Amino acid sequence: MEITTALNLEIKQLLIENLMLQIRAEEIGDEQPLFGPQSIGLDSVDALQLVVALDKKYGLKIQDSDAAKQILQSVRTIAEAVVRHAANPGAAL
Amino acid sequence: MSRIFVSGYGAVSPAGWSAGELQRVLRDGKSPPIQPLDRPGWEKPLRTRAVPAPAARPSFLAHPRLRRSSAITHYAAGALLESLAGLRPDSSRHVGLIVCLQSGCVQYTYRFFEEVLADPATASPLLFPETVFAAPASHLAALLENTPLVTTLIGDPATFVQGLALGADWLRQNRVDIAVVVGSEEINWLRADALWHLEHGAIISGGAGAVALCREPEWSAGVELASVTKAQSYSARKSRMQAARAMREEFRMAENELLCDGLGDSPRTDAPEIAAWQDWTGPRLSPKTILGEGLMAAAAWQCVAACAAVAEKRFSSAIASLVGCNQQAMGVRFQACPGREKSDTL
Amino acid sequence: MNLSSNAPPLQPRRVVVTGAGIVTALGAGWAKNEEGFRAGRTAFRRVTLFDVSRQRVKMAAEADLPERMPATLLSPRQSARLDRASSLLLLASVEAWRQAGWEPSEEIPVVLGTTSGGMPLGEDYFRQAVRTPRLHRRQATRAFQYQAHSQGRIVLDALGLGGPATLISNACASGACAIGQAWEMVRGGGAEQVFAGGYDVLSQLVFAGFDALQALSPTRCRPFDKNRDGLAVGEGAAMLALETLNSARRRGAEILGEITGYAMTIDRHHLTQPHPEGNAALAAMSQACAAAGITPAEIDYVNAHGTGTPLNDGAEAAAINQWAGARAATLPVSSTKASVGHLLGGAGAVETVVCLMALRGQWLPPELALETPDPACRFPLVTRARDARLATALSNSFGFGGINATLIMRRWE
Repeated sequence: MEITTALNLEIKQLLIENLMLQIRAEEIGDEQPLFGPQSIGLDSVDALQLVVALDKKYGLKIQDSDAAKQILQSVRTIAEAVVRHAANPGAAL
Repeated sequence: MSRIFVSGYGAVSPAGWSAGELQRVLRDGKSPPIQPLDRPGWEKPLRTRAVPAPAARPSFLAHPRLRRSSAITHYAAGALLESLAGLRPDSSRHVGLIVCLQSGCVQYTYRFFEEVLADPATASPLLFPETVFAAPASHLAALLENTPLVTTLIGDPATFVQGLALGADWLRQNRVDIAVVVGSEEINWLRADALWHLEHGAIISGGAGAVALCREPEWSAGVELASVTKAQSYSARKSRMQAARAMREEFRMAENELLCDGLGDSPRTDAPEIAAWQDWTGPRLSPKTILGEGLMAAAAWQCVAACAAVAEKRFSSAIASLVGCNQQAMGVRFQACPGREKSDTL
Repeated sequence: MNLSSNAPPLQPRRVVVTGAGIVTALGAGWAKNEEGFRAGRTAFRRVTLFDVSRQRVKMAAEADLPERMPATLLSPRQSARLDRASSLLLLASVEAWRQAGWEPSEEIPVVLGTTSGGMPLGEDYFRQAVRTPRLHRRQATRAFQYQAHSQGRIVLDALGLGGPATLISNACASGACAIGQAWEMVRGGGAEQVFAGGYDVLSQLVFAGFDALQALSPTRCRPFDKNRDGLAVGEGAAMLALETLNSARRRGAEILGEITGYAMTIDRHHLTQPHPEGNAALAAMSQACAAAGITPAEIDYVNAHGTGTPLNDGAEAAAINQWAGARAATLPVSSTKASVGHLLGGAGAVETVVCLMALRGQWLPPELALETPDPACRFPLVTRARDARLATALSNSFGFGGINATLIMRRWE
């Protein structure tokens, strides 16, 4: 499994559905920050929801907030983590 | 006691997203369609009248605070903003907000508990804060500029009139310039199932209503809050029948007065209110027979219908009779008074 | 137009407390709770009321119900069907009622604060409705008793009251708002006597909710500790008999304390998080002092909201620092949530009773779990049980959803 536009789109749809975002998938840039200034304006409750959603969909277990800060920066960083996890599911994140 | 006036009102109901739509359907007496509501495990669906999707997506739904909120908050926001339509957004008026709920945020409560029973480790953190009774009021306060006082009352439908009484107190104590009372409910099958167990005939519905009160006569929409009865609580000392009668007896006869009662589709549940108003010979409106059992939202629709009847000069006064299902009976009378011009804003 | 959101009525009447009842995980009754709070005892255990095996955190301040409930005017049928929420509320109500020595009446309003009413009955309803859809046994009763005003009805019938009962649900500030609204009614002449308080029971939904938000402490609830890592949930109830000073004197009633100030403000920042500077909390404390006609220098003890979460305690510390100003350095503060957890709708009421206990007994409730105070706190935290000369206490209750409430109480000499 590698990073493809299909995976990115799938992650964007996961964001929209789980976080009830009022925007369309194409309005979310692959590199666009999800948190903080110029981001799509997510907050810590969204972050917790994302951790749960990624666990349910990809089995990705993000254990602590530092790992979450790294992985949840943008759609691309999430895609990278999903691909890494698919490559060796056992590895801790 | 200084006089209190109605400056505006709003409603979201199975008739649509405005008090005007509510009025049109109540005047025509034509019920919005009953839709089936699937009840897991039953062949026969439950019966409901749902709020139609708005023609155009209301702009307030774009507010970041409403992104994660459920229908109950969207309905409440629609009714609230309509009731404050005369208030200029930059206005420095202090607004007091009283949100009244009975069932409350049942949609996310159901979804979250279902997820908890499946696996607490993956229960959605985003849903839980929205299950709290105080969530709608918190979101509505964020929509307005200046809300020094906000509270949420819970109880049976007569609690909406308790809200009107509390709003009037805040105004008399000069703590706010406008006090808005909002009643709201949303639908899901579990709430419909609970209602079915309490009243087999009931057709469940959802939506919201809001009545805005003020002190200054020049802001009135041509309606004054004339009187609010005592809250007649059901207890070992007073049955529901006695409470309904005691509430009715607080209203003297008046000319050209409309009665907006709370009768619906369950004769057994409605018996005390039917008995209490047996002597009423004047014009009468029963919103719940047309719009369904909206609980606190229906209480708000009764009050909005009463206000509109007076504001549109069809009646010189109107009573909303709230004989709640299992807590208290309370009534409120609205009467005509000189109103501000439609175009004036506060 | 000079408009303070807490403008006092024309000639405000003095409001005193002539009865108080309390039940927490420390036990039922003033004496047991006073002994526990005074020693800084903690009352947490693994939850037994519902399955926590798959929860991240397993502990809570779970209360024990007595074998037999006190005698009341409830019918045998009502007594037999008491749910947990009604039982906890009833225990506190009967204690406060007996101490006040009031008589059954049509003229005593009741004001109650709760966040989840009879939630466990709602959960039972859900399980049966989903697992055995055609089994209707007891569902109608649950649908009725689950609602908060059913617990209100139990208080009315148990004590022979005619009501009305007002139910306030302002998240974690519900209990304080109920007492505050009752105080305003008595102070403004709306009623001579009002029975008010708050309650909440542990429920699986709410416990799992706080755990899903990772708000529960996986170690120990340590409010204002530098390494604090979350709150602990508790259950219980507290009720107060409030009346005018004239009424209390006329009856020759013993006075437990006086409520001199109250204020409620709104923090619009976020549904679950307070504004970092805690400016709405600051406004609540300032307006409550204004209503009581005193300055922060005259406050001898602050019972903080102090949940133990990084965000709340940080915002509250900032607010207390700024509000107290010069007084902060010598103003004792503690959070009794370290002992009995966060009682949600009951917290404001229980913590009001704790302040009355401290004022009457002249002692400061310690928080023994505290190891390293957060440097952001420019006020001394009470970390060991000790006596103290106290005349005035302030209690904060800040809620999910941004409702902030502060109550001020004075010792009755």
